[in-house]
Amino acid sequence: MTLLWSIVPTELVFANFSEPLPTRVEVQQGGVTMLVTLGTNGTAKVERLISPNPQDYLRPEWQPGTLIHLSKQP
Amino acid sequence: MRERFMGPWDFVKNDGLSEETNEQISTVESVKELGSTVPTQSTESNLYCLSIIGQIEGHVVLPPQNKTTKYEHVIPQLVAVEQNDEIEGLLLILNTVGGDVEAGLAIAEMVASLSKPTVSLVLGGGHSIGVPIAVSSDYSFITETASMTIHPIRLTGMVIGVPQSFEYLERMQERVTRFVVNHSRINEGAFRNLMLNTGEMARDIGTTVVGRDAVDYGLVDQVGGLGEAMAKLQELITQHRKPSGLDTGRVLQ
Repeated sequence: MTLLWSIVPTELVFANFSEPLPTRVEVQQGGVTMLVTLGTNGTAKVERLISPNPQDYLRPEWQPGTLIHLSKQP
Repeated sequence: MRERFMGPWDFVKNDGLSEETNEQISTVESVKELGSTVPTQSTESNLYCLSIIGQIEGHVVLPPQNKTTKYEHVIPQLVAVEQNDEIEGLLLILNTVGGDVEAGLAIAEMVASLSKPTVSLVLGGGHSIGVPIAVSSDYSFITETASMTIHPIRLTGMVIGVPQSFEYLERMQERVTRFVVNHSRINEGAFRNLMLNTGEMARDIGTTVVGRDAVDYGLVDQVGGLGEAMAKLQELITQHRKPSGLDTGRVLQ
């Protein structure tokens, strides 16, 4: 259940909602699991970090939107 | 605690590449990304700056034209701030148009219950669900030109699939109102008046309060910018340190 409370009109927020999102894959990097969108040449964009260690979420290089180089192709 | 600042390539290092290679990659990356030949370095800071920008994204992934703050990333960051001994204070910067009510309230509750000093600064806008987040800190600032829109949670359009009952929305509204009243100087009646803005024609437009007005209504503590917010946070940190006698005499920035 989601309830959006925003000054931006709902039609704008949810425009393109039905379009499929780019495929995301789970990869293991540096000991944590990440949900990434694959790019070219072994790069990937971090979408989400999954780690039980809260300090991992403070690492600037793992913030969502950051490009990482995958050590192994998934 | 230094390990977490090892730089963007430590996970590559883990996979057995030599240090030179890492340095080369790092330099190339710095040139490419930042136009600088000096690899980026993290300078030690005792503050953690968290920015809440765009839409606050909750259970539903919003389409890509939205700039979003993802709560599943903000929540563990706040846990890390609480846990990390190097971090002594949290600076919360807000420029948000609102977003998911429950995700927003979750962030606000986390900030409010953080044991370390917290200061928030509303830049540009802190609208809708941004309001409880702005007031959740120990001390809040708003810039002269920033605005906060207080309006009711609307009955139409924002729910995907499931029609919401009026009662459900009222209860949501109540949760937000109670949080704001408990964490700021505004009283419930005044907040409801702003929200429903009975003088206006349309009931769901609410009120936009700008800079000083937000302070006059008791929503935000003070008008100010980055300098004032940082100074206040350092002051709170110093106060916070005193009882435990942990002042190490370090030069603070």
